[in-house]
Amino acid sequence: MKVIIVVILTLIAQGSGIRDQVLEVSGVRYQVLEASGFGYQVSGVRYNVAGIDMDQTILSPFASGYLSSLQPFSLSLEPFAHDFHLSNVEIEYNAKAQSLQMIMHLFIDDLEDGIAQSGVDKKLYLCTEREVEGADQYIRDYISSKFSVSVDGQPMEYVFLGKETSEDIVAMDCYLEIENLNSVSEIEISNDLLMEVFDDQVNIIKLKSTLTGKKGFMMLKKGSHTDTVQL
Amino acid sequence: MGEFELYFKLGLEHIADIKAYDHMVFLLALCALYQLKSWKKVAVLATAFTIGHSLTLALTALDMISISPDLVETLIPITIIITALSNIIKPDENLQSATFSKFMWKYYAIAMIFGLIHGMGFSTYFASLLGQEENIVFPLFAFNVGIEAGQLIIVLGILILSYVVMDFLKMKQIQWIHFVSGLAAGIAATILIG
Repeated sequence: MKVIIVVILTLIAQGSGIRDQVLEVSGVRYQVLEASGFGYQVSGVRYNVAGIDMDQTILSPFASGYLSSLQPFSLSLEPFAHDFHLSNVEIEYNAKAQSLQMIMHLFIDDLEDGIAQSGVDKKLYLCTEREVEGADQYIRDYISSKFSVSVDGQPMEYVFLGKETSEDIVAMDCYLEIENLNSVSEIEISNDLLMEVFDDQVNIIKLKSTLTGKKGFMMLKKGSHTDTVQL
Repeated sequence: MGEFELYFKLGLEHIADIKAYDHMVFLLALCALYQLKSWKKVAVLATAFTIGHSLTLALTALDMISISPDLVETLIPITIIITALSNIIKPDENLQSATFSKFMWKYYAIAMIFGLIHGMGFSTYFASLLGQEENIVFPLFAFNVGIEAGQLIIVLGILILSYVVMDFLKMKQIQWIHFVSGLAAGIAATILIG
């Protein structure tokens, strides 16, 4: 965001020579103190970002662009991170076993954040040799406070069968099951797992029934974390 | 929600996610040479990029190739810097190519080759979408269509911005190219340095 603001300001400053442009965005003040030279050869922009004066004597628009990108970054933007917040639940109604089998795929560090934020103030070291005793109970409690399943309008209890670490040790699969289901036609899922930790958390649900062969998909986000499918 | 819709949306939102801005910055550098009136070329260029990254994303998803994410994270900003620098070296030749179609194949080829690198950058994300899914062809297809749609929206935005800057703010095209290339190079350098 900040980079965009500075870019726009630079463009405005270079294009029109307007000075003393002030913009306040999320507590950071951007001010163009001086802008000179619309020409291709010389242009200068001086910013006051977050109270710090920065002077640029720029020889070309290339350098101007280059510096515009660097300043906000070095001041306030997070270093580059390919961060995304996602979980994935695969749900299958197995008609032969008369059960609803669920595999929940979660990032371990995200889950630790979620459990910590729910009031557990010790480090769990999930899926490592140092994993604390009773860690599964914490996971179970956290999941059951956030993830719920209703079958044909009836809220269901599920069993936490266990967890398994993924090959790359960054994620885990939790196995959940609802037993003794003779039939399933409508499933409602509510899953706001980790949404209290990350605003951009996306919880994907994929469902299928071996009875009807039907599939269903959900993409749950903050503010819309409940959905229903017919299987 | 259907399967196509799910993966399409995930692809679209992934490319348009501000946190995955390396791909956006690449598109910015890639489109810098073009004006709104040559949008067709830019659409082909973005599609060539998609073909490139679809290919490596598919190969990685099928476990046929495997490249360390750290290497990819290093190569992506390098593709941006190369694109940005090539924009400002020989500007006349670049502008000519942007004007006359017969020179364009070279640019399409580069977009595709660089797409190969960016495709590997999508793979961690895509893998976490799949979970234990066995049939990946359809999800892969829908995800790529979503990415392509997102890219077309981004490049259209860039072209409109360039139109505004050149036609209303009266910035010369050469200045625009330099400014945008410098911006892209600066962001890429920051990614590279970390």
